[in-house]
Amino acid sequence: MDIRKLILRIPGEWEDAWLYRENLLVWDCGGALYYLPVERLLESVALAADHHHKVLAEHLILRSSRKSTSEIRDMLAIPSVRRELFAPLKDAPEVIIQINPADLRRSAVEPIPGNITDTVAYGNRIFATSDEGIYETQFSPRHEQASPLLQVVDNPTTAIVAGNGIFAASLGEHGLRSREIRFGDGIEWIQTAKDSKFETLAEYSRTVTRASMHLMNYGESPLPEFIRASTRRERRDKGFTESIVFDFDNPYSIEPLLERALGLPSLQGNVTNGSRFEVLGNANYRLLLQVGPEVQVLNIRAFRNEPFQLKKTAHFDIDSMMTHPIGRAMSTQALRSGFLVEHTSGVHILSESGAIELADELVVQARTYPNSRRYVDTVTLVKDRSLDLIGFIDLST
Amino acid sequence: MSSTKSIWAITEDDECHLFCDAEVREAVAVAIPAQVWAVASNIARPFGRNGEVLARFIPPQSGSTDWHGHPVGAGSPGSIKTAPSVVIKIWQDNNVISRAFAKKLRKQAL
Repeated sequence: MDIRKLILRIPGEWEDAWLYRENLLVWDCGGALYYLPVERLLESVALAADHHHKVLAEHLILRSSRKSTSEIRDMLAIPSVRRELFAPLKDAPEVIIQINPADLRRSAVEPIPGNITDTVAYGNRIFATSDEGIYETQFSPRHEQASPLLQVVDNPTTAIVAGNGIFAASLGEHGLRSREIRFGDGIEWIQTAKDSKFETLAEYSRTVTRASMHLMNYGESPLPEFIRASTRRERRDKGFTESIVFDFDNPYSIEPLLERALGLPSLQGNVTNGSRFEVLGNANYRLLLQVGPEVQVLNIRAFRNEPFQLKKTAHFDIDSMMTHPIGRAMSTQALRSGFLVEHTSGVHILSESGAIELADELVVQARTYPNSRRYVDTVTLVKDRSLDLIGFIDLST
Repeated sequence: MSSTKSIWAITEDDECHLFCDAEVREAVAVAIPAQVWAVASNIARPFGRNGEVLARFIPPQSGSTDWHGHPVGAGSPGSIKTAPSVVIKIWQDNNVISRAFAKKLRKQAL
């Protein structure tokens, strides 16, 4: 691999960030929300660097439809075109373009009270969790009017996910709680949010992730629990349909399936074939286990009317891929090029081709966008003193 | 597949020093009068065998004169996985831990 990174860096002490509907959304340490339309961000790149870097940023980080078109793919198959396009990246492992933080605009939405722990943007709603609760507001792509900030839970909350018409949040000893999200614009969202009832899906939840439309609850045990969702197709505005969750099963221990998948009589002692193993986490429907020097990937299969299964797929020899060992994992996320692993020694992308180091220290927040059409291979890293939007290319292919 | 108790990864002597160090940090002791909390200065050298970077000490229980301490973290058995918000804030405000470290503690990720 010959990986080159393009990084758009916004200096400052930020708390979290999202790329959503052609806007960069950023929260500062005081919980205030800022935004920058992608179009304006690209103009800032051109101003800070040049038009060539703007095109690269659009191609590698803030994709327009151009990247996916067959015309562009055909053009990039011409070696000289590809060489010229990526020429600004050839002299160093990474190119950093500084974006002026003053380019961000302050949203009129009230700041999130408390210390932000997580955020999610989905269905024209923005949810933020903090050590004071869960907060909901409506997203307006042009920010022409301020939407009120509604507190929907008042317990400390550590994580939130949203999709398929629901959100689910981890409230520690107050459990894993879920609620539907009604779609549609206008001020009536507040009343529908107030009227919606929460359902407790698990008694204890430290963090929660999505596995396709299902949920994985990380509670008291080192192994996550699987929570199967039942869905129905619903038509939404602009003519597209979405699978909407209408029910969740009780949490299901993955231990027996893991024993079967690994061919072990028991997981006692966390040892398999003489090597200690650890669940790193799940990246969408893939479960990542570290077994000695290897990362083993298991597919989480839960098709309708079929029993839940774990099936071994790929494995990576991380000892030969990484210059220093992976620390204890804190989160794993999916992106098109592989798996993002956030651990105590930094942040890496693992794939069958190798490992890409994105940070060699603890970061405030790492985020990928596996459900986005545009940002499917973009990583957002909030560090102690900057926000980085990272895209990358393997020049050896 | 897990023990029901968190297990120290440091020696008993280090555990005692840890308690004394944490106890003399008056701000923390005042914030949580019935508990004393300590945080590992080096994330690569956790207090507990499950990677716990926090330690919690509670006052002597009936029939004992000793404070009882145990490592605390995301990998600990039981439902206490992190320190109270007020303690994390004091550590962060006093630069004992970085912003990133504080966020991971609030998220119960460490």
